[in-house]
Amino acid sequence: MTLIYILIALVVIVVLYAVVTYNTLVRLRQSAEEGFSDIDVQLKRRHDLIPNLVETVKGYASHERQTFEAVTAARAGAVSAHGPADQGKAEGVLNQALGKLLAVAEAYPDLKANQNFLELQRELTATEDKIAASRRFYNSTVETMNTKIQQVPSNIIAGMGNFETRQFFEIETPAEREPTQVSFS
Amino acid sequence: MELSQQISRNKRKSFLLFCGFIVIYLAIGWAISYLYGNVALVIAAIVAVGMTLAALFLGDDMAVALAGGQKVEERSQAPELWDAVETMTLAAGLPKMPRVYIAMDESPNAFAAGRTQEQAIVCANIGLIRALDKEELEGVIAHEISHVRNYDVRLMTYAAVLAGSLGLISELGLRLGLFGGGRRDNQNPIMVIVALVTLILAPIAAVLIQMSISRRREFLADAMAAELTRYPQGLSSALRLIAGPAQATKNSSTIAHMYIVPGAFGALGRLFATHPPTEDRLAALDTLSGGIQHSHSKREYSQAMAGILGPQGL
Repeated sequence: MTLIYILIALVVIVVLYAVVTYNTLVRLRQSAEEGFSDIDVQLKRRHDLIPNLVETVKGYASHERQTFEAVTAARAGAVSAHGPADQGKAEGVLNQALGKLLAVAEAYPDLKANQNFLELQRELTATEDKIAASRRFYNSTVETMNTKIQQVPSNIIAGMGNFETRQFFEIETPAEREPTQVSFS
Repeated sequence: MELSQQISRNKRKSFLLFCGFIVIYLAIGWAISYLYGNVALVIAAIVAVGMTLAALFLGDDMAVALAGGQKVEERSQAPELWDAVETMTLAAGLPKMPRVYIAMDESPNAFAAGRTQEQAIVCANIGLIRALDKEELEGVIAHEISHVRNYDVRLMTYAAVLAGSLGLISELGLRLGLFGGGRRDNQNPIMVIVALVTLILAPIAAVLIQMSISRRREFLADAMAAELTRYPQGLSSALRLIAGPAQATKNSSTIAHMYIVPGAFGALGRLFATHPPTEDRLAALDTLSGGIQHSHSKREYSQAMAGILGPQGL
């Protein structure tokens, strides 16, 4: 009799564990998806700001054509990219192009005093903060979820429920092409 | 101390305190039913549940009205506050950005309200936005967003109503006792005295527990704010700046416990305070900033975040 009770208790514990783990995985997958769409919304907002920014700078520095083209091309690349890895790379390229554009703006005092330009720059910074915040949430959710999917014994439940690990969203800044100046002073 | 440890310790202590509440409720239930029978107990229970529901459904709007908050409809009306709330909402992964309110009060203070994550409110005084820089404002807003994330508002409403209704019930019980109404004959006099003493002591114990839960939740919200901003120095610098002037917040007696910095502590001091002393909060944040600086690895962050995301203790 006692043996039967112990067996029943064991089965109940195993089933309870499976249910709790499965539900945790579902919740994590859900919040990872929501986190990813949060990042997407903020990225889109940033992409929408860029044409305005380019137009404003053009009004003061019309001959910097190369810089404008680089930004526009990088933006187009970022808009069409899909999935965390591709989007991360494309955003990195866009960051670099934007950095150059803003560096160009430094050389034009009139532009730096332009209210519209200042407001756009502020909004761009705020949007970048939001991208960083939503990436933080997404990445830590994905880390928790991936650990659960790979660790014993929760990996068994994950395998049965077809849960798949997700990629992190990292914005990679491409390496500078120009040779690095090394100084020994 | 690691953030995840602090968070789980806070959850554990809040849970224990809430268990204490249940014990007190059982004790008072026993005292009432011993003295006056089960009908009185049922009436007392109905009163308690009714008060809890009323506080839950009317509490948010009343708090904002008392604070004199005006709704911020779009970003351009208050870009700094709006951006801070939106950024911290994203970092916390809340399903919806809380509604934003500004109160035209020069004292630098803020509070959160709302019984669910979807219906949350963050209300900041105009003085807060003027006094703090971006990182500090984000720290304060992260503290408020953490209250929303942890369902602290709901928890504290329950605690306040439980303590309040306990007081009401035991007062009713004592008055009935004084006038001898409804007393049964076959009672042991010693047990009657025990029951009456229970009625006197229970509400005091309940208020002490309520305050203690509140202080735990404040520490927890500070710890989570550090996690959300990844920059504990923002909140600690803000607390240093606003701890003094924030005590001048208007209406602070009614909703003082909801603000990030409550009104001046009364004569009863620490025991009845809803918030830990600012020095203690700063000390806790300082140990955290040490921890966060030395543990920049993703693994440790995710452990901390898992502590936050894990099943709530309450």
